[in-house]
Parts: sequence; C-alpha cells; structure tokens
Amino acid sequence: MVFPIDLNRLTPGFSDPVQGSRQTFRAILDAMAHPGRIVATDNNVLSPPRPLNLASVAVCLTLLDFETTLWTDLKPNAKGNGWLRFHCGCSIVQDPSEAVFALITRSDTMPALNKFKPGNDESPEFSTTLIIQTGRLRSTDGKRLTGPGIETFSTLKAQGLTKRFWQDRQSQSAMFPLGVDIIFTCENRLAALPRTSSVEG
Amino acid sequence: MKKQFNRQSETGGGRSSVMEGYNFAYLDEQTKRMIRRTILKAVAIPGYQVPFGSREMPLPYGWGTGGIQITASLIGSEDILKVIDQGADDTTNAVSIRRFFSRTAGALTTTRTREATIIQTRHRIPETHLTKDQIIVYQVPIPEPLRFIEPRAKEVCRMHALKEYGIMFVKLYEDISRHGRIAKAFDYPVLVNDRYVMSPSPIPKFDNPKMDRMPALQLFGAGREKRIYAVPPYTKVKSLDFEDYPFEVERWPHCCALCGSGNSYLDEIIMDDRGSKMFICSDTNHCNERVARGHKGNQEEPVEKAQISIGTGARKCA
Repeated sequence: MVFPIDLNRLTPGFSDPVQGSRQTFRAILDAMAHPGRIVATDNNVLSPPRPLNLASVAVCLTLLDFETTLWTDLKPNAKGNGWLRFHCGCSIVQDPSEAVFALITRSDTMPALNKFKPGNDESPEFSTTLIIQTGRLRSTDGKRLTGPGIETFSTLKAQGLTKRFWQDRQSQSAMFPLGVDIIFTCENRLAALPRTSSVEG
Repeated sequence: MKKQFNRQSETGGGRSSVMEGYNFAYLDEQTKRMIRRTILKAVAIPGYQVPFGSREMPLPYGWGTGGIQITASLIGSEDILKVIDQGADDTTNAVSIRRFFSRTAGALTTTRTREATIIQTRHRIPETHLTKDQIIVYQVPIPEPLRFIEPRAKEVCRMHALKEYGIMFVKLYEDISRHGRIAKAFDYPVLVNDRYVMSPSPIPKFDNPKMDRMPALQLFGAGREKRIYAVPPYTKVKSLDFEDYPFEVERWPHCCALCGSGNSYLDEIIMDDRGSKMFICSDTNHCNERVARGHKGNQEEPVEKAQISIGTGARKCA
C-alpha cells in the first residue's frame, strides 16, 4: 500500500544510523537471548509519531528494510505509516499472514496469533516477529517464563495483554519449532518472548 | 627449549585508528540488518541452521568468514574482542581477525578470556568458564551434522523437520561395532534443547560438556555454507550417546609441560626428529595465566612414545 508522506512534518530517525541500529540490535539480542529481561534502548533522540513509542521505532529502524514486509494496526491515515515507509523502506501489507514483522499499538484488539506466519516445518524461521506496544513492562508479579535463555525462571508483566492473547500463546507452544516471536515495547524499553519460552500464571 | 614455548601473548588491549573508506565494522548496513534478523531467528530456534545471504569477505573461506560476519554485526566501541584459533591467541588467523576489527571498528582487543565481551573462536572453547553476558562466536566449516551420512540437502532438511535422527544413531552404532567405542573425537554431534541435532563445529569433544547450560550466548557462523545457528544461554546441549556407551571425553596421562595443568586440553608438540614429544595446553591464555601465578610444568622431560588413553582415571599433576 502507498501512504502519503508529509515531508515537511517528518521527524528524523537515528541521528547516527550505524551506531543507533547497532546499539538497538544488541538490546534486542540481549532480550531475545534472555526472555523476560527488560532492556533499555538508548535512543532518546528519536521523536516518533504518536502512538509509536521509542523502543518500537528503534526496533523497526534496526531490523526493517526493503526486504521485509510489515503489518501494522495503525489507521491508514496515521503518520506512523508514512514515517515507517520513509525511514525503513519496508512495504506495508494488509494481510498479517504475509508479514515478516508486525507492529501492534493496541494489544487489546490485536488479531489472534494464528493469523500471523508460524513458519513451516522445514523453515521455521519464516515466521512473523511481532512488536507489541504495552502500557507498562515490569519484571515483578507477572507471567512466569522458563526455557532456553533462562537460568531458573524469569517474570514478566506486560500491561494490556488480553486473556485471549495468552491462550493463543499457550496453544502456539505446542507447535514448536513453529510459532511467532514477540518483542514487547514500552517507552524506551523492550523485552522478548521467543517461541521457546513456556509461560505459566 | 624454554624460550621456544614461552608463548608471550600481547597483554591488555589497544585501540588503533579506524580505517577510512569502509563502513563501520566493514559490512554495509543492509547486510548487517539481514544478518541481525538471521541471528534473532537463530536464537529463537536453538540448534536450527538459519540460511543467510553470506557475503564475500576479505579473507578466504575456511578462515572464519561466517564468524567474522556475525562479529561484524555485533561489535561496537564498548566491546572487547578476543579471537582464538585452536585455543591460541597468537596464530595468524587470530591475529589477523583481531587486527581486522581494530582497524574497521576501532574495537578494543584482548587475549584474556575473562575481560572479553565477544570471543570469536576457531575449534576450541576457552578453558576459563564463560560468564553471562559474554558472547562466543564459533567459526563453522560444515554446519550440517548429517552431511556425511546423507548428502542430499533436501532430504537432510526433511530429517530435521521431522526430528528423524535415526541415521545419526546408526552411524554412532557402526562406530561401536567397528572400533568398540564412538570414534568421533571432534565435531561430535549434540542435541540442542531436545529438538535439533547440531554440529558444535570442529571443537574437540573434550569441549562439548562446556556447551551444556553455558551462561554465555553461543552463535555459530558458516560463511561458505551460508548458515547461522545459535544456542541461547542456559540451554540443554546433550552429546549423543547410548545408555551402555555413554559419552565421555578424552583424557591424557600427562600434564601440561609448561603450567602443569591437569584438566586442560593438551596439544602434542614434536620436539625433535627422534619422536620425543611434549604436551602443552592448547589454550594459551589459560596456560600463560597459570604460569604467571607460579604454576610450573615438567618441561625439561619430553615424553617418549606418548599415548592418549580414552576415559581413564584422573591425571596426577603438579
């Protein structure tokens, strides 16, 4: 889809694209290798269009380009679409099952997880990575995570996720090694929930 | 003789000026993004080989092109890089890769395992226990553990998909019926997170137990074969074996001739043309640190007709 981009009002991306994306990648890798760990992305210079948060746009600037497709729940006339198209060069698709990445700003109305790509048996990496914006991220009194990357267990509370989301996630764990990988973002912080983590609570 | 084995490694690190005319850490940003996406999927599917668009690097295949591309996508000015080749910090491969990153990324380098944040390795895991938040990058020549059993890539892909690893156990069984033991001494296959059979790269099987529930993140890069795979921290890595033929590591009756270490992996060094030899630590940093702490080996007495025994009792070392 083509979205109009208002170049006069477009806010800038990383002030230093090389170091900005490198630092953000290390934060994402740290989070993905330690599910539940909350990691800060150090990119306070970014001024993303509402309702996108700092961590979400940092992740997009780091991982998205012309090779990746993005599905987003932003309204068609939202500034964010043009911003992402301009800075990342990604194509925005309307069908979640075609998306390599999905950016979700309203977790309460998001599509069911099985609407996204789970990968296939021979290529489980062809699955969607979801970037979900949450109201709050805490590592106390939340879901209990176990699995690779976690020494004993970790706790993660991501505000705004519905019961249905966690039920969907539960049914995905039976599909391993297929399944979606999730990055939760809040302000300039992020935490990851790869398909390997089992969730309780 | 003493001087010959006093392997002096460079102490501390140094930041040299960054080369102009290349992007930071050599690779262009689009390539790094592609590799970074691949690494994240690799971490999310432990032990599964993710294909990637491997680039030509300014060194030939077999010299660590896969490892170098991973390191280039990770490294930054806050990182301290250690590179080893067969355990040694001072071989051509290790020295040139360290120099490559200090010139293209201004990276700090070290030979000390403890102070490194990224360790790129060819065919060894350091003796010093790796800690959380360290990243070890393995250089991998043949990422496919089933390659020499089933050469058809499509078929192998299906075997991984169906977790159909019977053929691998047949191979190990044939070893036992022919040699009385599993004869594979390096690149010994492992099962990661109870799902994928994975090549640990040509590390000696002595190092396999170190991979199990390692607190550091393990990344594997195969440049020529265009595959990246990973083992997240604290992930179960089991060396394949049978109940009646359990996995065991090789042991030596000798201690390191330089530092007297009794629990490290030893290299056999030929001393003269009459067959006398000496055994010294393959991990130069481990050996140097022990020597610096005052440990001594028995280096004046080369071992005649040395033998490696498999699975025998502990060594009695100084």
